[in-house]
Amino acid sequence: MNERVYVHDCIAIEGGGRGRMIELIRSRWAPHLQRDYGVRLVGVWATVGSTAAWPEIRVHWEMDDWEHFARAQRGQYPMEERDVYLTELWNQALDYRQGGRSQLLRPAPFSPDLATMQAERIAGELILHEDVRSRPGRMADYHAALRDECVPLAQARGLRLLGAYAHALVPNTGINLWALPSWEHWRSLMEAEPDDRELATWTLRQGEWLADIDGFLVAAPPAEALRT
Amino acid sequence: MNDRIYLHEIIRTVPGREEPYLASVLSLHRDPKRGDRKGRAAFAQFRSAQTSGPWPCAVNIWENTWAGQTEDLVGQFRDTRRDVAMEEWWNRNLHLRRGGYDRLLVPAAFSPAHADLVSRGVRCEVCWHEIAWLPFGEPLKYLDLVGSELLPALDRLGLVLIGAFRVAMRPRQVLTIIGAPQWRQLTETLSAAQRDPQLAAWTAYRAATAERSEEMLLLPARHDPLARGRVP
Repeated sequence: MNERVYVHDCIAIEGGGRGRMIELIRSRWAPHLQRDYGVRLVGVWATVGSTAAWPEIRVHWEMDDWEHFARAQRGQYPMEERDVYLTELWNQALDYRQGGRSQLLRPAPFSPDLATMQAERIAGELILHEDVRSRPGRMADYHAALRDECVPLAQARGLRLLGAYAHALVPNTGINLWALPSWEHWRSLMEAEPDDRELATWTLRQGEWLADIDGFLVAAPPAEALRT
Repeated sequence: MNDRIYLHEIIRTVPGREEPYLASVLSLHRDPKRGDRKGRAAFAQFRSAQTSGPWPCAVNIWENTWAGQTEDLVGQFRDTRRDVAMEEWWNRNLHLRRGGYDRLLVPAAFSPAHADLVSRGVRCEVCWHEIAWLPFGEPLKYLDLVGSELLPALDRLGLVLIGAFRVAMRPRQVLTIIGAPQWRQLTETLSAAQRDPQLAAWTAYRAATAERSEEMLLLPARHDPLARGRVP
């Protein structure tokens, strides 16, 4: 039973600053949050421009529970009074981004936490990110079906669940994250998709619980590399 | 049978820089240093007309295969296979565009490939570009009906299908592009939408099925083969 709390940031990048913003988070921001507040970086990824908005990055943070979330937030804010170093990083990042949009997430019970991801080596070269909007009141039913029906289908196709979450504040909204081993594996899935009847049946069945689902790719670019 | 896939990009251009942006994209596509990228075609390039939907913007559509698309993404995300020419171009053209939103498209079987459009000499003054959100399971039926019901009506009215696609990883979305040789054919079609029986039946189905849609009227880029009186 995962009772962690997550914050997922979607950050629109200014000009060519994507790689530098990711590097700032990897090298300075995340170590600071971990050291001073115990907030753990699950991942920082570039949105793959051929599949969604660009230039954009995604940052996924984990906290132990609601008590930890409250402590970490209270420690940081107001930033100018409580954390001079974080304020400096925030201002330095203005060269790369002006703002963003965050989601406060609670995991589905079967969603792995970071320790489990690390212990079970749940990782991949790229991540399939799904924005989920459920029919009113059906998110829990969707998550149950996701666990019982979709996860086995996905695992049989080489995907591993990195997380399934519901927004803690906005009803009927959530995200799924799936790890894919490689770009070549993604290609084989896309080529097979038109003839994959099991997957087509699941896609159709999702309409029972979902109003919409949008998938796109995110990936961690190598240090110093770009790009769109 | 069209077995290609398409990268579709809506780009937020710097206002007033739409045509320079589109030309700069073409310069990258024709960069001789990237001559090893076989099988990719510039399917179509458009800019917004200020009549429907967001503006200013540009739309690029690239014809590719899953293998080619994967190779392009590997070039971006693995250090071992960097596309340096693209990186240089990308950073050099920041003054022309601010960002964008992309989709990967899977064509309906009857959707024309780039070579088909070129060989038929298709020219358009304006294109009607639609992204529609349909119920789960409806997109394939919707595209079938585009082929069987809408296309005959369009053909009769002098319009031409540029593309009909579903969107990879977004199971509710379809994207269609219909070209009008002249604005007049588009307005005659809109005018006939309720009184032409075939068109009225399609219009009723579309209205009852699409839960949301984003409509844009687009102009082919001046250098695009689709453009009437194109600039070579």
